[in-house]
Amino acid sequence: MKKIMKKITKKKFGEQGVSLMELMVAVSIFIIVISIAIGSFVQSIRTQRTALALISANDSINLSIEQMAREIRTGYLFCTASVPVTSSTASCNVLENDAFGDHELQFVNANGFTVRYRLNGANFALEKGIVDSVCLGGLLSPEGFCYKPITADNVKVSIFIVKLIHGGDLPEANPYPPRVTLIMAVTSKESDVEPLNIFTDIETSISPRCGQNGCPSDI
Amino acid sequence: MKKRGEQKGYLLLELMVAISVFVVGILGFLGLLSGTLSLNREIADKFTANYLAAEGVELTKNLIDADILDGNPWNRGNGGRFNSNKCFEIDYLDDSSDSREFNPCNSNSVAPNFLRYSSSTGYTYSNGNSTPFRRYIRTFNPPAAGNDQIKVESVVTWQGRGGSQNQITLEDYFFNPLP
Repeated sequence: MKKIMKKITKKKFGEQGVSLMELMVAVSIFIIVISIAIGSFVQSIRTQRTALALISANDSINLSIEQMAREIRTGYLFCTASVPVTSSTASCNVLENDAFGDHELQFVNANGFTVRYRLNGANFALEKGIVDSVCLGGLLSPEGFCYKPITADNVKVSIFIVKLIHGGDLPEANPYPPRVTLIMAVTSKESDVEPLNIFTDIETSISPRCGQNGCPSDI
Repeated sequence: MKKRGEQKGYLLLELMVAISVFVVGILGFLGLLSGTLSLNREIADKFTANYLAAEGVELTKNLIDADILDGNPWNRGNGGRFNSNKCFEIDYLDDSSDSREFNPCNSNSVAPNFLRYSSSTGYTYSNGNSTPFRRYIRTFNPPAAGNDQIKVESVVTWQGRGGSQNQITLEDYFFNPLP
């Protein structure tokens, strides 16, 4: 006990140890370094969350594109507003929601149903329309097409353009198979990701497999 | 006054060790930070490249179908594009008169032209701003009578933000529909 007391008193009067000034400098350097470290760590976690949201949105649109591509691949009588079908048997009426260009595609699928794909500009979802006057849970258009979304709620599709090459041609007039090109810009709808405007500019083309005498329209 | 032998302070060696530990720590953090910041763009690029490669395969199928419908041999690539010595570039606007072939064509090939993008016409060689993406198609099994199979490789290459070279290769086989 005596020894300890001696030590303490020695310290006190011998002025060995850290002064207040030194302590303050050390602590402030520590705080600065730690705050930089924590800041960058938080930032990288936020970036990782953004990345996850984007991956999720892109995976989701991948499914929608796959669904469209399958139906387009086996479809026939394609038409858009700028490439109307020229066949006398089928009609491609003026497509609603299409004042700006080729934002909607109409064709006949393998089952013989006329279907349409379009972008709903109000909620940024891709929609599929089929002729259905009852239209449970969908949007009924004046032409009798019932539109239902095919993209998930977390996906924002801001651009959807369909380019159609050799689409409206009759088989006799042009021997080339149609070429359907889908152009879209996709991001996530999550509240902290959407304002960042990180769009994935997607383009993919589909070549319908319908050859000469292979499509119901050609027979 | 202190004696010379009792002077206190740091050795140069101690200082160097301390500074290098600090620098290593900071470098680790900066590396992590720059990695995560470019992650978003990298993901978007990968998805885009994937779709572009798929488009290349699909356009190749379109050329095959066009030849069949036109009464040409099925495996000539609509004007001689299918050639084991040459790769070719194609966009969705490409017609039978367009021919963007190049050689040498091997696994190290890089397409000469960058795709351009505009939000109204998508990825083409003619419209919009330059993108980092380059795409070419390579066909195997040279056209010959009695050859009923053709292998198609669609390769998209692009340079990432950090200067990394990325590549996506899709492979598909097409067969003679009227053997």
